[in-house]
Parts: sequence; C-alpha cells; structure tokens
Amino acid sequence: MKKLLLAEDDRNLADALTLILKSQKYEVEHVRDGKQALDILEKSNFDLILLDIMMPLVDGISVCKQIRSQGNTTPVLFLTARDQTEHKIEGLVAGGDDYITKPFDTQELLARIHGIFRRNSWLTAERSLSAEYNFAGCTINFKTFEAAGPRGIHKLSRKECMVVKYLVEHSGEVVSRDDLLDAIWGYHNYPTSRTVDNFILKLRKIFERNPNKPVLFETVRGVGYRFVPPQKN
Amino acid sequence: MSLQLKPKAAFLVFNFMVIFLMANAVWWFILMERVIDEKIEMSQELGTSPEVIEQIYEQESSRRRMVVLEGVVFFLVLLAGLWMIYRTLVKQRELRQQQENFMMAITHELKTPLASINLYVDSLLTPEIAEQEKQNILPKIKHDVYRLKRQVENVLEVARHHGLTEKSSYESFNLSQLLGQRLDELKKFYTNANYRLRTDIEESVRIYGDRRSIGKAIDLILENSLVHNEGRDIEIAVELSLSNNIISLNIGDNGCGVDKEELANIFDQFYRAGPELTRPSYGTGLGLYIAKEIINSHGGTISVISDGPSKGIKFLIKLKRGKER
Repeated sequence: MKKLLLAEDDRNLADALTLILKSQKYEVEHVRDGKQALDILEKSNFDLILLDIMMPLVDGISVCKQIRSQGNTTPVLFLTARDQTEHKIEGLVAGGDDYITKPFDTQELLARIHGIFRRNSWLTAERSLSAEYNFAGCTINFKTFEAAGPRGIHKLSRKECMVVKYLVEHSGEVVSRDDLLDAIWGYHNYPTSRTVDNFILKLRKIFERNPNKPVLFETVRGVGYRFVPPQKN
Repeated sequence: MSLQLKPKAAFLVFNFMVIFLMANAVWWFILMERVIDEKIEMSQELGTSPEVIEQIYEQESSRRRMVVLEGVVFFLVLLAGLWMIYRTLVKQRELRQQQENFMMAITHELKTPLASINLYVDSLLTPEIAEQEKQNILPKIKHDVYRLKRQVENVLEVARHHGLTEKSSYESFNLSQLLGQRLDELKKFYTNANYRLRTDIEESVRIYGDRRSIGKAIDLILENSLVHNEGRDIEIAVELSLSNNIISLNIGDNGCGVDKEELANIFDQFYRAGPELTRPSYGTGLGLYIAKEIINSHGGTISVISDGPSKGIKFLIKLKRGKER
C-alpha cells in the first residue's frame, strides 16, 4: 500500500481528497500547514507528497525546497489555485515533480499520481540499465541520485536523473525536446522547452570535461539532444 | 490614452533623470567659472589696468552670486517636483502589489471550495465509496456552497473597495440604526448559533461614510466571532458611543480568543488564527482584512485585544464622524 502525505490547510478539501485517495487504496496522512509537513517528513517516509502551495506558517514551495536541500527525494505533486506558467515553473524548479491546478477532477488527480509512480518505477527499474551506470569516467546512480563527474560528486534531482536515463536508453538517437517533455514531465504539463535546455546545461556542467564543448550530451541543432556513448577501450 | 510604464522601468528612468540633472548642474557651474576666468585672462592679455580687472572681477562675482541663487531656487522647485513624481511612482508600485494580492485572494478563495465540491461530487459517483460515507457528503457540499457564496460576496466587496467596480457612495447616516439592523440580520442568518447579545448603543450616532461598506465591516466582525466559536455558548458584546467627534465601536466576545502572538497577523490577508482543533473549516482569511480596509478607507482605525486562548476577543474601532459635504 502506497503511503501519501497530504499537506492542505482547507479542511473540507483535505477531507474530500482523503476520502477519494483512501477509496483508491492509498494510505493517507494529513497535515494542515507547512510546518507540520516538515515535522512529519523528518520522522516518516512517504511514497508521494501532495503539497498545497498556499499554506499557513510555511508555504508549499518552501517546504519542497527545504526537504530537497535535506536530501529527501520523495516525489512532490503540487496542488494549487494558481495556474500561470511562471508559477508552474517555480514549483518545478523548487524540486516538484508535477503540478495540478484547483479545481481538479478526481480522474485527473489520480492520473497525475499514477504518472508520477509510473515514471518513478521506470527510473528505478533495472530492465535496460542497472542501477548504476558508468560512462567516460562518470557514474550515475538511478536509485540514490548520486553522480560523479570530472568535477566531483553531485546529488542530482529526480528529473535530472530521468533526463540522463532517457537519453542513455536512447543512446546515439536524436531525442527531441518534446520527447523529453513527454517522457519526463508528462504531456499535460509542458514547462516550455527552455526548461529542458536548462536541464541539459546543468548535466553538462556535471559530466562533461569541457561543458562548453560537449561530447557526451550533444545538441542536435533545431531538433533536440543526443547522448553519444563513449567508445570503450 | 495613458502611458503605462512598468514600475521598474519608471524607477530606472526616474533615477537616470535625477543623476542627469545633478550632473548638469555641476557642469553649468564649472562652465560659469571657466567663462569668468577666461574673461579676466582676456582682459589681462589686452593690457587692461588692474583696477579695471578688479572691477570686472567684482561684477562677475556678483553676477555669479545671482546665478547661483537662481540656480538654487530652480533646483529646489525641481526637487519638489521630483519628490512628487517619486511619491506617485511608489504609490503606483504599492497599488500594483495590492492588485496582485487581490488576484491571488480571488483565485485561492474561490477555487478551493470549488475543488472540494468537485471532489465530493466525484466521490458520490464512485462505487468504491461506502453508502454510509456518502450520506455524510451532502451536508459537506452544502457547506462548501455556502462558503463559496460568502467568498463571492467578500471578493466583490474587496473589488468594490479597490475601485474595481462602482465607486463607493458616501452619505450621512445613522450608525446606531445601521448597527441595530445588522444585529437583527445576524439573528436571521445564524439561527442555530448559541450566542447572547449584550448591547450598549448610544442612539442617533451619525457618520459620514459608505453605508453599505460599513454595514459589511460590522457583519464581518460579528461573523468572525460566530464562525470561530461554532458549537460554543458565547456572549457577544456590542458598544457604540460618541465623544469629541470620535465614534467608538467595540465588538467583543467571551469565546475562544486568540493567542497573543497571532494577534499581530489577524488582519492580514489569508490569515486564519485560532486553535487548530477548533478552527472552523471555512475561515475565509479575507473577512477581517476586508473589515480593516473598509475602516481605514474611512479614515478610522481598528485594533484588537485578546488575553489569550479561551479568553475572548475584542475589536476596537475608532471612526471620525466626518464632514457632511
């Protein structure tokens, strides 16, 4: 049984969400403000956090930033009334995994939750790649999100790991920005293709010997990106 | 058509203008000094006698004093103008911020109950949810609909107040009478609430203001007491008096009260105080904020005192009687 943390200050909405989620066989724990959310996250582990953005004491974005900085990688789904693109990006930059705008339908909510779990299990599955992947003197672990590159060890975000895994799974192929958005953010939630570019820039800084002259994560002009597997000696 | 500048750009242009004018002033002064020096040099070259040069120097000095004096006056006037422009810009920036907050308030306050209703209706249609639980859902939906209705009213009141809809209309009216009417209305709406009313209302206190808004502010403060003391037996005390042209309106209760630390935030937008367990689900987070805005816009003040949890709360409103225009 998957265990969800619901952080929502509105009692009626929280009751409604709990009812629906429990009917779908999720275990739900409910907190009513950002501080309570942070407290409980220090003690217990969850499979997913449903985080309202506007909450008393500590807002959802800050909660997400804080747990990420503490190394907590639990997926976060933001629930919010704001639906402007910049707010979506703000949430995703803070380390959120997805974003749903109030008022949402039950089906939409459940689809988002399933989407997060599906992408997550793809990331940690060891079908095509083992948990740890080595290339050109670099290492990435798709379970611990740790990466080692020419400039040392880094902790990646879930999305960054997903981008690497997707590109590696499609080694040598040209992957368009839309493909990446589709696979990693879900079709509904385009954070604009610029976001993808920023992710690639960050990955180059970690893995490329010379980030300005990438040889692993190549740009294919006008189309997207390609992961060039290094030649084995 | 009006020229709309973004605040950031406007401040940039403004700063540039100030720097440019200051630099110009210094430059003019240097230029003037140079002209005087050149004039004297030229006279020396022409072999003018020292007495005449002295005379020229005196003349130029007095002219310079005059120019400097005129320059100072000019700059003072200019600075006054700049100061006024600066204040307008600051005001505009504040208004913009207020508008943004207002938009956020609308979005949050309307979408949350809507989301909840939406999910409850979905739950009713979900076969996995037991019949017994479904029985509990309808009153919750009803509750949310009531909430939504109140929010729409509140939001319209904020809109009205921010001048987004019709201009508020000021008139002279009998505040004592209005207060009596609002208390009667309260009885009609909150038929189930357990409260006793203790009133000490001075008769025929007149005020110059917007009747509807002030009525709304009174409603919001009274409702605040009822909403936060749902299921409790409380006494609401209402006092109205006039002295030295200042109207004092005090509304208090002996209910759940507020933690002293929370008092400072009670008038903030979205702020919902009160002990966690007794906090009602439909605290608007807008009510007291709107009440405060209304009182402030009438040139009045509102403050709050509470001795802590379960020790009641009291709102003190001071209003000027206002001129009849």
